[in-house]
Amino acid sequence: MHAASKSSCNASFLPDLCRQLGDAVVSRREILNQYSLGELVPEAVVYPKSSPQVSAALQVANAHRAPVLLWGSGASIRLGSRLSGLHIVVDMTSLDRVLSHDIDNFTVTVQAGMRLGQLQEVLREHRQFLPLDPSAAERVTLGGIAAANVSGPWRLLFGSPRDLVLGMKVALADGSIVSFGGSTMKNVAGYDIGKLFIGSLGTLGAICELTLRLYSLPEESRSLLLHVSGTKRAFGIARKILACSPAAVQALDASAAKQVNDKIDLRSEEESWLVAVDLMGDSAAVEKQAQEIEKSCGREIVSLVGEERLQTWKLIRNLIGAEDESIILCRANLPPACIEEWAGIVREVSPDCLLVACPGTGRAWMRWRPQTQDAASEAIGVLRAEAVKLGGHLIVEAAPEEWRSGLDIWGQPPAELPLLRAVKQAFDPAGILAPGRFVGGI
Amino acid sequence: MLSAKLLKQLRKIVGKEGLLTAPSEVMLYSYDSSLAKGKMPEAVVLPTSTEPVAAVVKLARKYGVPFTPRGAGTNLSGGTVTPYGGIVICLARMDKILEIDVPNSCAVVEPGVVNLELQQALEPLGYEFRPDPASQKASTIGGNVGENAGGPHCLKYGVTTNHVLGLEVVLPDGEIITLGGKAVDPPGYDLMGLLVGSEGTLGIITKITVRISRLPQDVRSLLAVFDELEKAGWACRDIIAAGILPAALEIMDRLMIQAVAQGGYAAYPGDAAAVLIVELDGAEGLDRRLEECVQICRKHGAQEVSTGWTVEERERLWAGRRAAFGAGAKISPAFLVNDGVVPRDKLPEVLRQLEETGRRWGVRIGSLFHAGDGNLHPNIYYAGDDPEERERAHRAAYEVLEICARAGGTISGEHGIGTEKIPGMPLIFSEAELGVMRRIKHIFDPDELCNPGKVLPEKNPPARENER
Repeated sequence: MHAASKSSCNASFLPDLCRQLGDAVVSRREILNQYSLGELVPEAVVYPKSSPQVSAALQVANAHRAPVLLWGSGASIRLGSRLSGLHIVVDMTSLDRVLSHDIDNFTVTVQAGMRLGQLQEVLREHRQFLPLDPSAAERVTLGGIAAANVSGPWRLLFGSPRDLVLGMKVALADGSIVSFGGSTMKNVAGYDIGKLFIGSLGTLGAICELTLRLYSLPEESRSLLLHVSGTKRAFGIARKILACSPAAVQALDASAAKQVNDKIDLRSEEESWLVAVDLMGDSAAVEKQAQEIEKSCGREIVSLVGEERLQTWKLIRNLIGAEDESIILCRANLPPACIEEWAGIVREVSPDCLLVACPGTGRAWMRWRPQTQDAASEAIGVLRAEAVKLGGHLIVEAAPEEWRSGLDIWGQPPAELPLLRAVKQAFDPAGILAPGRFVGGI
Repeated sequence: MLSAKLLKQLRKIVGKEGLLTAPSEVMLYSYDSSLAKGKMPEAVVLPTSTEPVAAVVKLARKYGVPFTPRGAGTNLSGGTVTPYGGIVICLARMDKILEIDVPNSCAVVEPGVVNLELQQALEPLGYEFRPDPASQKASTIGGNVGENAGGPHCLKYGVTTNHVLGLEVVLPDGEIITLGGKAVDPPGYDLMGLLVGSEGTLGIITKITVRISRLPQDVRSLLAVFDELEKAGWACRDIIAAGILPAALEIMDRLMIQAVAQGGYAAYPGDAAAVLIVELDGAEGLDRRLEECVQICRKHGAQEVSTGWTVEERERLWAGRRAAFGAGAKISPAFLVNDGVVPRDKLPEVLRQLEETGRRWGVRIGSLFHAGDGNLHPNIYYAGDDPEERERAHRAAYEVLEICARAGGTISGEHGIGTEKIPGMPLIFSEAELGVMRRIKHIFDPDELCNPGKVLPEKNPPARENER
């Protein structure tokens, strides 16, 4: 199955790669080292400037069965299991242009290497935005967002990349370039192939272009911060707030809250939860939501607007960024109603763990610094078993590089694994795209 | 003909009351709401749970007999007709709402649950299932998922695929799998996203977990009357461009308004060239947005703009809109349904082109638009007993697909490809792209027995009979 992983490491593909892509290929050691993952160091890095160049790189890799990793900002590059081989990195960040911004139609088509922050700036001039706010939101690329299906607090109101991607252009392993979806809100012609690429971690093809659904910048954005002591009360309040249809609600445990409080100079009682709420909409609607929340929660609420609001959310998002190599970061996806129970379980299993939970979407991030790999492995195993018991799952999003191959990143493969393998086989028969990274060793 | 042995085994699985074979009975399952016509199915099974579905599929596969899943048969593109005959697996008796789970904002239903029944069960709890196809009185959730159905309110809230959390599926080899569930983002490729809208060609959906959403706190509606269709298109374009995101934004043209009036729904002025219906929902500040919409309509020459509808009046407005499709039969029982989508800023231009198409081919086009999301239903009415006119109608229909493809849109927004729209597929997909879809189909259904002859252009399609 994984021919690429077995092939011996030699750079026989280099002359071909250079012939096809010229100075877009770099093989200087100091550059290669910047793209190393533990002891895996690529033999070449390609910086394509167009979809045909991405396709050319994949074609060469495919012909030589050389394992390829698609690299955006690198924010999610360690998601998934350790690769079984790495010869070529395709750095997508030179593909950084807006191809068309259909302002009246509220859609934009961008190259996959464009950074989200850069796109938001372009859109802001037209009072529009793309409602995605993952960790490292400023520099993460749109291709990376789609390939990793990452989303942040706004997911509650606006959904995930799978809801906002209308169409995509993809280079397949054999070099063919295909498009699925389009630039319309609705489209049911043929199979929804684009969905397979969202969250596929670059194991099926290279997303080169994306067409995305945009929204109007809200007339008003306001955030509310509530300090609440006691898990039960914190989640009780979060539930009440959810009934007011906010854009985001995050519950931060005391250690997560402390990191935010310290940085924005907020005082709170020791050991209280921080419930952070984001409201977006017409001014009158936001005002009404804020009043309702104040009335139903009956406590002191810190209200943030403008730069303060943005900085606070940046802090909250980056608490759970997957780039720190010295920590373990896990994400649990649970039926949303279990999230309070989950907080209790986490406290019991791993008392020194930092927890950020989304009561509306049922997602929770756990971050901690275990002493040993064994301790990490054990805690992950226990948490995962509990998550499964609640009807959810748990994946490891970040871990020290030297531990990664020893940890169970994905958990028990799903029953439909044979189908997943068949899909992989259909798109990448030689197994060159991020071999070993995906679920079940795909 | 199915062998007596196979029939006996089918009877054993679904019982005597769950198997239909008499020509007068199976004939009722040989067509859907489109004009597409296939062969007569040889048997219809009506299972009441997942295991019999799986058993029937295994049996069909063993005997090499095609099988086609079916809900209420409201499909508008021939997705549930049987071009190769075989067995129809009708899921209408799997009609139980298994669970409404408010704390987890979801409901678990069997595929035969009718969309409106689910809405009625949710409403007292203050919730709804957002997709609201006009067929919702009859169409089933299973069918909605199979077609990735839309509806007027999908403009703001997205289509069915945005509201499905989990599926139980009987694969074409009879294996039962579960995809997704109450927790989001299960590890693995998004097979659930692939299955939604696959028109029953990759498996048979036997259980669905849908997201349920809170009913909007407040609603405002507007009805604007225009003396030209294009003006309504301009107003729609400008409402979207102003950054207003209505819950629904619909246009009906003269012919459809007349048909609705004839059908006894007196909601619209019978002599208008076009009406635009705008619905806004939210918590607060709706009146201001509504006023912006009123101004935009006036700017584009609306003859009349009315707001301030009561709940009952609003319901009448929507009842008329939902009835329009059926009322079209008053114009002529024979009509071809189109379902193209164009980028919304192209609407006025495309509306003009559609009028030209009608004139060029000498057919009557009556249009319903989910204008807010650029989804057009220009229905082409013709004399069913006149082969020459029928031919012209087909040419006009193909031209509509071309217009939508050329405008940067697509050939189906919510009805699916079925059999009817297959000729349009090469307008929007390259051979390589169709090749990818064929590979996917092959993974799931290597024997091509699961709803064959749909979605993808075939190498050797069966000889097409005339439509009914």
